[in-house]
Amino acid sequence: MTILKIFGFSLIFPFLTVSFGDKVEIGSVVPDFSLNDLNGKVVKLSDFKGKIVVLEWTNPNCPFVQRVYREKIMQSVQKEFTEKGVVWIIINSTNPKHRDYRDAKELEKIYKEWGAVYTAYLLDPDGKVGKLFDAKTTPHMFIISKDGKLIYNGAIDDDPRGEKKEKVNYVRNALNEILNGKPVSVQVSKPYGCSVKYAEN
Amino acid sequence: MKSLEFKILIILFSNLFAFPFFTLAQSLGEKIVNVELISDYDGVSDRFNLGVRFSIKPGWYIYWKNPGDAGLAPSVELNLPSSLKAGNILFPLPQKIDHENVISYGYFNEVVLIIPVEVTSRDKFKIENLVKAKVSWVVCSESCVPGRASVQLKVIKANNQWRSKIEKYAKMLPQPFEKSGLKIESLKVERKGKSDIVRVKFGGSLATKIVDFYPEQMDKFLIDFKSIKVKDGILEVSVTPTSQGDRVNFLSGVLVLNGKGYEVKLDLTKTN
Repeated sequence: MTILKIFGFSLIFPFLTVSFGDKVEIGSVVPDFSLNDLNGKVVKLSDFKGKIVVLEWTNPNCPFVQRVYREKIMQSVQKEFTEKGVVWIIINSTNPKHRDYRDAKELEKIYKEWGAVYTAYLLDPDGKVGKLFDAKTTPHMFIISKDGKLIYNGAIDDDPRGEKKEKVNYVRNALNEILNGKPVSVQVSKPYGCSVKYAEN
Repeated sequence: MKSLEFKILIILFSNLFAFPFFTLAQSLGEKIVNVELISDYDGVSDRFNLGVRFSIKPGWYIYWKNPGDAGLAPSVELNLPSSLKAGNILFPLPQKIDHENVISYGYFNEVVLIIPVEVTSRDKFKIENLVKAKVSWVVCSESCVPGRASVQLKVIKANNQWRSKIEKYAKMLPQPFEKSGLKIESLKVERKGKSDIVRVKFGGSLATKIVDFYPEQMDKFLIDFKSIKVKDGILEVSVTPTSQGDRVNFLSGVLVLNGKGYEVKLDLTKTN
C-alpha cells in the first residue's frame, strides 16, 4: 500500500521526481520551482500542471531583448499562444547588484509599455532557476509540454542580427506542432542575446 | 567604468524604450568603439591587406567570429571598387571571457580584422581606389550596446603606423595546424544522452602545452563551451545536434598553445 501511494504520488506530481540540482535536459521532466512575481506573490511551475508552458528569459537593458520587443516579435507570439491556452512565463534572473537590475515596479512599467502579454513575470535574483535551466542569454526560450517535459530549448528565432526578411520563429513553430499533436521538429537551437547577468557565486 | 559614463548609461537606458531602437543605444555604441579602415598597401604590390580597426574603450569588449554563449560577432559589409577583389575576413586569436555560467570569446582595447585584397586591374586601381564598409558590432562590459558605422578609405601608400598595426594583428592570426608540430593520435566520438562527446588525443612534443580550444560555430550543432577541457594533450568537448538523430561529423576551431592559435579541422567520420 505504501509503495502504491508513493508511485501514485509520482504520477500526479511529475514535476517533483527530479532533483533540483540537476540541469534540465530535453525530454526530461522539469523540476518544480517557485519564484515571486512582480507583485510579490509566490508562483510555482506546478500551478500550471497539465498546460503547455513557455519560459522566456529576459533583461530589458539588453539590446537583443529591446529589438525583439521593438519589432513586436515576442509580443506577437505571446499574444497568439496565450489566447490558445499556453502559459507564458517571463523570468528575470538579473543580479540585484548589476547595473541592468530594475525593480518590480520599473519592470512592470517597461513591459506594459512594450505591450508584453504574459501569464506571470517572475523574479529570480539569485539565479537559481536560471542556472537550473542553464539559461545563457536574454532572450532564451524554453517550452515545457503538458506532461511536464522540456521539449524546446533555444532562440526565439533564427535571426540574431535582426536582418532577415523571412525569419524562422522556432517558438511559434514548436507551439503550433505541439497544439497540432505533432512532435517538435526543432527541439534545440542556439540561443542568442546578451549573457544572463547572474549573481556571482 | 567611470562614474559619469555609468550615469549617462543609466539615463539613456531608462529612456531607451521610448526612442527608436538604434538611435540612443547605437550612438552610445559608437562612443565606446571607434572603427576605421586602414591598409598596409605599399604603393606598388598587387596584394595587400585591408584592416578594420576597432578601438575599444577600456573595460569593454567586442566578439570573435564565434562569440560563444552570448553576444554577436562584428559584421563587415565591404563595398570594393571593381579594381579590387577581397578574400575572407580573418579574425586574430581572441581572449576567452568567462562570466559565471556564460563563456564568450572576444577582444578588449583594440583589434584589427584583416582582409586580404588583390588588385585585379592596375589601370582601374589608379582611378578607382575608394573602399567603403558598413560595420556593425555589439560591445559589452557589464551591459551590452550595439553600434554601427560606415567607414571608407582611399587606398594610397599606407603610413608606418597602419603597416605596424596590420603586421601586429596578422601575427595573431591562427596558423595552419601543420605549423603547430602536433599530430592527431586518436579521435573518438561517444554518445552521452542526446550529446556527442568528442575526444581528441594530440601527439608531438608540444601536445601537453595545449591550453585551450576555441571552436568555430557549427550550423546544426550546439557546442557546450563550458564542457571544453584540454589536459595532457587530450581535448574533450560536448556537442549537441539541433536535429534528433543527427551525429556530429565535423569539428573545427583553434588550438591555443604558447600564446598562439593553430587551426584544426577534425573529420569525425574517421574516428578510431
